[in-house]
Amino acid sequence: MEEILLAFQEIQTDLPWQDLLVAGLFLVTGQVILKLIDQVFYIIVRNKKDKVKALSFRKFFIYLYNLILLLLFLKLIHVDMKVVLGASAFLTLAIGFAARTPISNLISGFFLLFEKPFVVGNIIEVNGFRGEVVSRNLLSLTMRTLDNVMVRIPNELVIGSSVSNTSYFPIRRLDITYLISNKESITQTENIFMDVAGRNSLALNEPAPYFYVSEFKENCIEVEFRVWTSSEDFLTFKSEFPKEIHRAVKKAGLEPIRDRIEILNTLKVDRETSKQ
Amino acid sequence: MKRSEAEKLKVFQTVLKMKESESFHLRFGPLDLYIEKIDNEIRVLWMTSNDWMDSSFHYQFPFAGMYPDTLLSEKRFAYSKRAPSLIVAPCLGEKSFVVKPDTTFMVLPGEKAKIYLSTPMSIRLSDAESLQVIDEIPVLHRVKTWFGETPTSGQLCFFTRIHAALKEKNLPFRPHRALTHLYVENSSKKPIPIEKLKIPVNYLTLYQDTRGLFVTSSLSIKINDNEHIKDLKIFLPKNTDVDYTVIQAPREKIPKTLFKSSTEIMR
Repeated sequence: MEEILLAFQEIQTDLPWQDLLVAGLFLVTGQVILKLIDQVFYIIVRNKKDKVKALSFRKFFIYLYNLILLLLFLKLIHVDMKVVLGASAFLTLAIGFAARTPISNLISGFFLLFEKPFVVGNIIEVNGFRGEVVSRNLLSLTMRTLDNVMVRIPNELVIGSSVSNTSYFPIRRLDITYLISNKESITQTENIFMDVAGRNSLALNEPAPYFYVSEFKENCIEVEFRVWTSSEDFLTFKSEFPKEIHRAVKKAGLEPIRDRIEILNTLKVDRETSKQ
Repeated sequence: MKRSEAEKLKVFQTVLKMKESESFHLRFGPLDLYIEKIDNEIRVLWMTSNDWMDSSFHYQFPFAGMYPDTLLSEKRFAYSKRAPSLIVAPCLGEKSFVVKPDTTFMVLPGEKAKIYLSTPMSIRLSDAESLQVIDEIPVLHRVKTWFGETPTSGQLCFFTRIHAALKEKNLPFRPHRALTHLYVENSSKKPIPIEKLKIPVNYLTLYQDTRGLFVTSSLSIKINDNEHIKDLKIFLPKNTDVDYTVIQAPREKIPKTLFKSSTEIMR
């Protein structure tokens, strides 16, 4: 540190004002050129869908450009570069220890940039949070959860945990489990389910819906119905389709499951009989 | 409406100049469309019967009747100045259409088939001066489907059941559907069954011929062994008896390789 202070004291005492002016002009011109490059860059990337990679490179370029500009400026004002480089090595080491987490996030951010498990606008689940990706940069990911809370997750955590992206593929499957009385016809139930899917405009006909019996229980039959929809319509479909199924089952007059109530009634009758 | 009356469809090439408080009514297949101009506002009301076989067509301008009591969808467009004159014309869908012929076709080895297919259109409302699109209303309520070998590779498309024919006269005439000529050449050694076809309407141009019929650019594909598409061409329909007027330019620029494998266009 003493060496750096000495180097700057030398500048204050020995530097001719002409050199200082040239160095100042160099710095200003450098910044003007940077602004121009930035404008050109903005025009190129403004219509691109995923700007994250481009914007990260822009940041990296700006940092690198400013670093080179600063070094050249120091050279112009006759600062001993050996001292600066020597000091910067110590500085890097100190920053490395102090900024271990941001650097780790930065490196994770670079990995995520190339791996691309999600893009802005996707609905993802990461580190226990589920929501829409609002933005991502080299340090963190910003999400808006479905109950409208902003969450910032450091890239280090994103890379270290599992990420599920529900918007990645254009279509999704909805699985419905339904219980029908074992007195009812399985074929009729299947026809009802298929008919409801056929009439629902959000249900895809391809991949075709699939109906099967998953389990014969003691008092009822458990059936599974698998139907596909587009990922963008999934939430609406998930909310509406089970209601439509239930309405159709009721309309068709299929018997609801009430075996439990029947057993209770039998017990009651048994007790009453024993009293008598 | 019969095919011989298709001349009436040329009304779509005119500009709709509506005065204040005037209304317009169009019945285009299953679609009932009403447009009303009030001060600085354009009000659009419509409903669709979902009857894909409906072939009715008529229009009334100015429309003096009452709007039906049944549920109508509505949109209103506000303008700072006087509302502009409109161009009301059909357009092709924004996604590919998967069409399923009533019966499966087989194209035998060494054969070349010309298949006539039709896809439902939408009605596009545009500003007559700036040509800016105001809105698009599908003639039929569209159903989505997945066209792909697996749920991970494929494309989300619209679905329609159709009559596919090997002769144009055998295809039932529906004014609200655009006709596409598809040429399939089988250069492989085995027959190619065509159960479903994907028509990439978003890359096609919509024309109206001198008879008033709506047709799209034609498609031609040549299928090699291993189900690879050797040659894909998109071109103006080959009918020297009629001339074509462009109604809608393609929505998207055709990429260098639109389809690599035949499974991307037919299954």
